[in-house]
Order: sequence, then C-alpha cells, then structure tokens
Amino acid sequence: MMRFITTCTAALLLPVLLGAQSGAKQQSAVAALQAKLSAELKNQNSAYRAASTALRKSEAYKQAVADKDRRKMTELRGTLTRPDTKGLAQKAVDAAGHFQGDDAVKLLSWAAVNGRDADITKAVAAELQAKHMKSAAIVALLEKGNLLARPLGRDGSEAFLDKVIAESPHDVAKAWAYYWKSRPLSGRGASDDDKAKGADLAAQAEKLAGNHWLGDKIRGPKFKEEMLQVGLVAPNIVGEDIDGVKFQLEDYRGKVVVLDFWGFW
Amino acid sequence: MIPHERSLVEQMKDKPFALIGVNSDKDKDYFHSRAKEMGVTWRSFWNGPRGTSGPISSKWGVRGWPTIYVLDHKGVIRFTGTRGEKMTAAVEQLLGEMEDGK
Repeated sequence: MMRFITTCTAALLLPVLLGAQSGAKQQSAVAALQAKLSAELKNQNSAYRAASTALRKSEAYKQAVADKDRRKMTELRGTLTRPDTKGLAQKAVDAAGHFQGDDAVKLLSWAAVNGRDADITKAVAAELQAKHMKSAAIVALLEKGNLLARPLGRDGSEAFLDKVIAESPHDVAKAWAYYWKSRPLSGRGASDDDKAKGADLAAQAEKLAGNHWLGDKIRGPKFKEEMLQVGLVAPNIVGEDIDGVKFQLEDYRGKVVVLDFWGFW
Repeated sequence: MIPHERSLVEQMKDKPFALIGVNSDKDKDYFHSRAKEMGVTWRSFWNGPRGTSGPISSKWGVRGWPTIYVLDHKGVIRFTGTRGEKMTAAVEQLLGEMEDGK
C-alpha cells in the first residue's frame, strides 16, 4: 500500500517538478537538473577533499606515514566518505526516463561521464544505441569517448563508434567517433599498418571536425613537431588569466620565461 | 613541483624572469582555494572549463602534465621538459646570456 502511494505521488509530482508541459519548459528543466546534479557532485568532491586533507594532518595518519605502515594508511583512508558518483549517475538515468530525445540524451551522457561506473556506462551506451544515435547531444558523451573502452570492451566500444559513424547526421559526432577509433591504432607500439589506418581515421576526423576544438586536438602533435622545437620562437598565446584578465605570452618578451602547463586537479 | 616553482619565483623576483602557467583546473573555486594554500603567486592562462582538454593545451599538443618550455628573452624555446634543479639552472643560464648581451 505504502509503495502504491509513493508511486502514485511520484507519477503525479514528477511532471510538475520537471515542468514537462511544454518543450521549452522541459529543456530548461533538464538544464536545471543537470546543474543540480553537477552542484551536488561538486559539493561531495569538496567535502571529500576537505576530509582527506584533514586526515593527512591527523596524528594517526602522520604516525602511519612515519611508520611506513601502508595497511594502516589504506585503512584510515577507507574511513573517508567518497563521492557517490554512481548514486548521482543513477539519479540522472532515472530522470532521463521522463524525457525524450536530446533531453534524455543529455542526462544519460551526464550519467556516463560523471558516474565513472561500468554498469551505468554500459546501460547508457545500450540505450543510446537503441534510440538516440541521431541526437546531436551524444557529442557530450563522445567527447569523453575514452571512457567507453573499458566498460564496453574494445569490440563493444568499436561497435558503438561505428554505429555513430553509420547513423549520425552530425559531422562533429562522427568526427569524435573517427577520432576515438584512431587512438588505439596510433600508440607507440602500433604496427606500421595500424599507424597508417590510424592516420587515415584521424584525417577523416579532422575533416569532419571543421572549426570544432577537436580539430586543434588532432593537429596538436603536428603543431608540436613543427612549431615547438628548441631554437624556434614560441608561438604566441592569447588568453585570459584565472581572474579573467586578458594577456598574451608576447607581453613577456625581454624576460626569461618558464611556461608551465599545470594544474592542481 | 609547486614548492620548487614557488622558490624559483621567489629567488628570481628581482630578475627579468617570469613563470607563466597554463592552468588546467576546470573549477576556478578549487583553483583559488589551493593557490592560497600552496602560495601560488604566478600568473596563469586559464585553459577553460574543459580542463586538460582546453584550447591552449589542445593546440600545443600537450599530452603529459606538467609540460614545461623555457624561453629566452627573445621568446625562443631553449629547453623543454626541464624540472627541479635543471629548471633553475636553465633559467640562470639564460639570464646570464642576457647580461652578456647575446
């Protein structure tokens, strides 16, 4: 009985909560949901980092480090509450069931990218392959196409990418699919045959990418080889600093410069 | 790496030297809290919300982090991948060349 009531309440409330009456409203509801899930993930990440920092400063942990007691260190770290990425991803998947088309795809992609969970990724990939190959919104997942290989396996991942190439009407989606197909063929250990295939696939990807940033990513190694060698004047960088103030690398001519690509992550 | 870079910046503060970062943190709030904690004073380009897949590192073909280029006062790339003591030595060499009027 209780369960029946809960289900009924949910069925009545969900469309209201999610604003499912009109297309425009529904789209903003998805954006709001995504923002809410992302904010929750960010909160959990910050809480985890703070707890982790506090743990490292605790006497017990310092003692374990001094003793080189790895078992104890692992045990203490085990007491931290890790971000529940799978739980949040499951919420996104559940919510996706109440939407159609691009809106559903956005939530499913969010789940696969942020959940970092093999079962969720597999379920999302299956759902996308069954219903959503023509959606432009699959690009959000394809940008992180490297996340597909492990949960789906090499063959499963290839099949997904091939289906995108065969069925998507969107050049950028196809470009990403070609790009991820090229990657395993372009590694250091690849045979000359594979490297040639990889280069062909990457060339297809670059052509389809047009002005999308994937094009820069594909041209990166060549740019590095041609422009970033010792003895050459460094290409200028025009950008913004972390506070949004515009500046450029050439502002520092006349000074010795260490240019450092870094992050805290 | 950050403690070393902080001390390099401190050591060279009166010299014609700048450490310029390309920072790849997606989250500016996180950047600010850690920068304060770690005493990061140098200026960085922000690589945008895509983090390590941002526009600057994509264009420059950066695959490993950190990636380091040392440029002389004319903007010429003179060293790549120098870290720790080698970074300091490279900077000292280039400052020396500058004083010698090369």
